[in-house]
Amino acid sequence: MKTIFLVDDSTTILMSLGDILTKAGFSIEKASDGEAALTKLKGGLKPALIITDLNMPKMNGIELIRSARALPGMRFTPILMLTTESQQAMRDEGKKAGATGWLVKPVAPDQLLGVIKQVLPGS
Amino acid sequence: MLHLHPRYHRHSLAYLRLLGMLVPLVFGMAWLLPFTSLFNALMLSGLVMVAGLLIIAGYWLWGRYRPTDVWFECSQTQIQFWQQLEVGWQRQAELMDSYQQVISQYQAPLDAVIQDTDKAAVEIIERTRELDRQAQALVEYLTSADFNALDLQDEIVKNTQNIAEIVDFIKDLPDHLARDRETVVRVTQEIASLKDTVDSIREISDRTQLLALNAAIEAAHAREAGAGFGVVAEEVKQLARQSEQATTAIQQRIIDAQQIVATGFSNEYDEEARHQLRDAVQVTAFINQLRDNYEDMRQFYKTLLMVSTERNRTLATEIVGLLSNIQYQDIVRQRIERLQLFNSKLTAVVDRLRTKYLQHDPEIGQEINDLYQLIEEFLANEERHMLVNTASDDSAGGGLPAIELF
Repeated sequence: MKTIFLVDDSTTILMSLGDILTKAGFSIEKASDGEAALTKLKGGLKPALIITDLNMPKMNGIELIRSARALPGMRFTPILMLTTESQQAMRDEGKKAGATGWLVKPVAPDQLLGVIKQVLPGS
Repeated sequence: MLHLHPRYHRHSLAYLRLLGMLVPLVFGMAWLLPFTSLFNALMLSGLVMVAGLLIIAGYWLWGRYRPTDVWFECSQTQIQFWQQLEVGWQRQAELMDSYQQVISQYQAPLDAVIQDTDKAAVEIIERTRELDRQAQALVEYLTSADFNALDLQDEIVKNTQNIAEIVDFIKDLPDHLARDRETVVRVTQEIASLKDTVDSIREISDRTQLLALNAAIEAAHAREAGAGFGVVAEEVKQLARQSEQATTAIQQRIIDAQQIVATGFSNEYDEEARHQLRDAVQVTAFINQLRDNYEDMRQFYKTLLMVSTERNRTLATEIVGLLSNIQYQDIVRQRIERLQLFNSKLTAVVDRLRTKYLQHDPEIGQEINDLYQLIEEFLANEERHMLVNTASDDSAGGGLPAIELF
């Protein structure tokens, strides 16, 4: 069972997306901000995919991606941004930081699972 | 109508007074010239002008640092206008104050909206999870019941087969019994035929006894010589008696056997067997009917399970859709947070305006610019977070795709 790491400061997002992905057959890990997420990754968590929000307290999504990419074994792990931000400038910044893709909230479950299938072949 | 600050009025009055002083001075110097020299006239005029300038400087200084707003002699209308202006400044400051309070008043309800929607969303998710668990448990229960029903059906089929075998056996039983009866009759006849043999044995025994008696008589006649023969005759007599007893016992057993056979194959027994056979056939029919009913029930179970599984699948899809819609709570929360940030900045600008009004400072251009900038920032920020209708359109605000893989 592949593990997806959800990072969002919204409890409801963590719960709802967590349930959707669990029903789709994934194992879920959660963190409520970038700093907590980075601590877990440094602690040895090796998710198959990271889905992170952009605007979060302590450390935002872009900073998290930059820091995560510097960790050993995290260079090619797919990281999706899931945010309400839709402007091109932010997307460019995310892409530059190392994001694999950009999803604008709200994202439909079938679309989310479709994207996951694309970045995680065989899932 | 243009309203000027009282300070401008005071300065204007001072300049008019200076002009009022210079005009008589020039005309006075012209009047002095016929009576004195030009030098004296100039000196006199210079002194007057210096005095006038000193007076104006005094007016200016006094006007700037005077303890009260009204120092010059003004018309009643002007005084009333200044007073109204003063009240106007005060009212503006109060207006800004009340505006600040209004803004601060709906900060708390906005916080409450975030907390309430957050709490409600969490409750919806938890209830949805419970709903999902219950639906899953129902399907598991029905699946388990289906398996149990399958086992039960196998058991019933097996038992029915056993019963059918028993029924077949019972059906064949009359033939078996008839065959057995014929056999037994033949045996009875054979036994009956033994009676003749027994009679013959009995006759032999009787004759042997008689012969033994005659032999004993003959032995008695022979005296000493017939003593041994007499012993033999006695033994023969004993044997004949034992043979008689055995024959009697055999005859009795034959009679008993005949009676047993006659009783065992009586009409009553036949009727009882036929009755039991009818019962067995009825039981078989009942069991067959039960099996048919059970198969109907089993089919109903199967259909129920299939329908329930399908409904559960639909329910699961709906639950996922519901969970997906929970994302809107986060979107609303972020919108409110942006509004709160805007209000916070707005409050700061209004506070600066209020301070300036209290200080009678008319320079509020910076604050006006800040307000316009604030509105622009807010609108730009909202545009960045424009809601996307992912169901019908795959593009975000500004034509950008809602989902983009780099």
